[in-house]
Amino acid sequence: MDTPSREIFWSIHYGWVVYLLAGAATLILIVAVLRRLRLWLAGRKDDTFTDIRRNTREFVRIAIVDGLAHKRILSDPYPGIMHALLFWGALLLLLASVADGISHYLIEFLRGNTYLAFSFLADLGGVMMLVGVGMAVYRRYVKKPDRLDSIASDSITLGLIFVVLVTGFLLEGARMIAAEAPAAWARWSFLGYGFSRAFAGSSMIGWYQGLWWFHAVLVAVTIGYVALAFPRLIHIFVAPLAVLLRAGGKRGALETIELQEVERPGFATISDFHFRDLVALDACMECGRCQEACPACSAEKPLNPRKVIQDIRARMVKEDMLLARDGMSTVGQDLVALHVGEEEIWECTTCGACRNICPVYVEHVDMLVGLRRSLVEHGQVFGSLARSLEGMCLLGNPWSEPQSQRSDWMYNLDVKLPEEAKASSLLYWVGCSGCYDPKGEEIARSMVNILNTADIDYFVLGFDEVCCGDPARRAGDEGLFQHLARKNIDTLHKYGVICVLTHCPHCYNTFRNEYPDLGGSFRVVHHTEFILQLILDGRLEVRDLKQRVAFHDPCYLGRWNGIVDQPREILNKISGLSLIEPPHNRERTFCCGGGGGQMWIEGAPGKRVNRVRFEEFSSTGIQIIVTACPFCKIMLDDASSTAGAGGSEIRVRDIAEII
Amino acid sequence: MRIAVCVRETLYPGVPYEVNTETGVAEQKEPCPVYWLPTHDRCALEEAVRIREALGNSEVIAFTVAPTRASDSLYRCLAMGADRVVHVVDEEPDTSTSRVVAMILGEVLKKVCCDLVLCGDCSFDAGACQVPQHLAALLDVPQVTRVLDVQMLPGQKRLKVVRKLERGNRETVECSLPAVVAVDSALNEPRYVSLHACYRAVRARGSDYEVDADTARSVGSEHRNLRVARFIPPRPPVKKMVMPDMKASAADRLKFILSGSSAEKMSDLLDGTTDEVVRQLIGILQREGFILTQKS
Repeated sequence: MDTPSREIFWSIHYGWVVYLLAGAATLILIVAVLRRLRLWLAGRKDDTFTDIRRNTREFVRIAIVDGLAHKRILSDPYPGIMHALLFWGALLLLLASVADGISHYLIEFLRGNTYLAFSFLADLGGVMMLVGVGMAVYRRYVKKPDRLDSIASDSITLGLIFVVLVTGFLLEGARMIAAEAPAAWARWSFLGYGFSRAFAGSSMIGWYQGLWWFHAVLVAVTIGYVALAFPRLIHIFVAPLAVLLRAGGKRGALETIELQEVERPGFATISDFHFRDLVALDACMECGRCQEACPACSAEKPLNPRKVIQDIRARMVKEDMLLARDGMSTVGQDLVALHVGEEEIWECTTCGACRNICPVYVEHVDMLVGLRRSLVEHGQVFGSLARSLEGMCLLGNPWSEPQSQRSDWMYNLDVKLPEEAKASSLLYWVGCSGCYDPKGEEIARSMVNILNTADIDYFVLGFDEVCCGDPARRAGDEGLFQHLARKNIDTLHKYGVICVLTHCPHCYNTFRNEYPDLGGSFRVVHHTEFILQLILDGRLEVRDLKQRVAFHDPCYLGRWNGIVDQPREILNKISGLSLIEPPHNRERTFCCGGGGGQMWIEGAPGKRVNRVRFEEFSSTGIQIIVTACPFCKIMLDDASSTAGAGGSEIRVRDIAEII
Repeated sequence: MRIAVCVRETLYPGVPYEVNTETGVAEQKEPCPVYWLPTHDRCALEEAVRIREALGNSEVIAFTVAPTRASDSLYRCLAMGADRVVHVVDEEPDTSTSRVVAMILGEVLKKVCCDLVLCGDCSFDAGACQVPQHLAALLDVPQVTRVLDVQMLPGQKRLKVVRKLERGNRETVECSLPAVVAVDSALNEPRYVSLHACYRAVRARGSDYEVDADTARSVGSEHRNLRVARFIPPRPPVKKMVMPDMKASAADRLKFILSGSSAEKMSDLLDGTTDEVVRQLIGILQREGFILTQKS
């Protein structure tokens, strides 16, 4: 024994039994996953497989960035590091086992220094996992954050992993003593060596053999447990699949339903969900990041995205059990939405904070809107929202204001209407908020002033404009959305519009991401991009503003469409202005509470989301909140004017108003 | 059990309109007139659908006496849950009085034999509140108006309803069936009908849509004598102007007038559960003298 190495199955009789054990455990696991697969396949599979082929490249990118490098997971430090230790540790151990197998059965390469490196890395992996388990136990049972629900299977899983790891090291130590391995190279397996020092002097061969079998059986038991109980640990297998199915999905666009073909749109039963949604339900291991990011949840409202996903999952599992017992599906019995809770479903602002932070790429917003669609089809719409939708249906805007007053905001302003600007292909899309809400009108008027000052060739539709349909779609009335969208697309084609400029991120998102599905492909520009370009081209001069200012990222601009730098660049061009970042900024912004039809939902329980956000701002000691969305402006201004008696000194402005 | 619901679409009230002083007909300034099913009528239909859902083995039929353009509203009725709709085409609605409408409806309803007739108790445009009464008289059945709650009594041949009286008083009455029940808009919250559901009704339920082209022409023509002699538009409401504070600077006063705002608004946001908010609201109203504290 001159060169460092290790003999597999050293002094173990009937070692091949371990392969039987492992095989049996793996078989159980495969059967369990296949059984689950049958349940997932109850969902709709349209496009799944073409999507997989198309998205492979994106999946590989995510697998490297978010899988191996843990980018998204590490964004939350403590649980991120905990998971990274467990993941990388397990990965090292897995690689060690594979190397061991290759060395034993194929090419013997684990000799000499290679072996020393191997044993060091394997021990390092084990130690990392042990530390990870320790961190997990401390967090789950000592710190007990709100977002974690601890159930029995968590303790069992952690316990099994812990015992497997510890017996592994003890076994290593016992082997070293029993085999009288020279200390010079046993030291490389540092933890095992440590144990061997602790028990040095006694004959450990019996212990070694006992521990060996105990360890091997326990590993098989762990795999069997994961297969049979489907604890959170199953995400090892399901999460990559869920991510593969999600990768490359369109950002900011909800699913377009072919209404001619679908009898009842929406997720009424489990079989209405997509295959990928059902897989994602099982991939969710309730880390609770969505719960922490959710504005409704932070405002103590009943909605909790984690609970929503788990409720749907519980429904799915129940359906599976009924399927197994009765041999027939109970599909079509009752709405999944009622299982989740109507109140929860109508609380969502569709801000996307949850789906943006989810480490396994669950699309909470898609599912919630799908549930809303099923509720709408059954006539169950939150009271005040129903009136807004009706207004959109009858009059073309959610404010229920007459179409004949759509151009009132232009009063006393030099606005170019289609008749006057035949040659222009640039449309300034004002949107309902710019036409009907006083706070929105101010933005539209500032915008027109900017366009006129910079001498831009543009035009405004005036009476021909109707709502872009965003509130209808997010509220679940897909038919109304498509009706409005088609109307707008026809109008825009009639006037030969190529480029659409808008100051509303909701309109922007709808035009850019959702209209192409309905045959309306236009170049869409948000006014922050446009103003920045004007400034860079020297066509627009900015005023001075000696104020402390914070920028509030609108969800549909920053998070859904990734426009976060342009508004900041504009603000940095203003001399005298000092820009202060609130705690939630850029892609991790906190919703104003106005999206997803929430603008028209009154009297919901809990705190008001706009107030929560406003308090965050007022604690930073700023004078002006600048935003780039009429909805955010309205919501935050409301919060400002009702903060305490007589309102707050903090003013809320759109970026177009301070240039 | 067969339930008839009488509905009629009217101009949507949220849109500015002008009344033609010659003919007395309201005209909207919109690109095209906006019609809707008024809340009262939808409440009546909703109640009928709920009764059917509770009893089972029932049929809900919606009737309207209206021009051809009303078909959209009738498809909406189908989407809301009516089993069948009957469209009695009347191309001259402006000349027909409540009496004529009731006679036409009566003629049609006699053929159908309904156990219960539900109507909205007041139309949104004319607001005469007469059709249900006329209809009950013509059908020779009892009638109840301003109904806030409808309960079918066991045995299904009697009805217990709550009526709305003045000043918050309520009256509970029982009546035998068949009957005409005119409902108040506070009866229930009508279900939401998506546009898709309406389209689906148009596409798939043409067979449930009956058109009656003759009855309106043959019945009640002698009563078609409504002629508007003169229409006096209401005086425009007096607009209150608040004078700006004279102590403010000229620029501020100018801004004040231009913005049209009144004095600094007092604003406060009441937070908490519904109960707490109501309590706080009562406190404010009492403090400001809008309501007086009751002395026992």
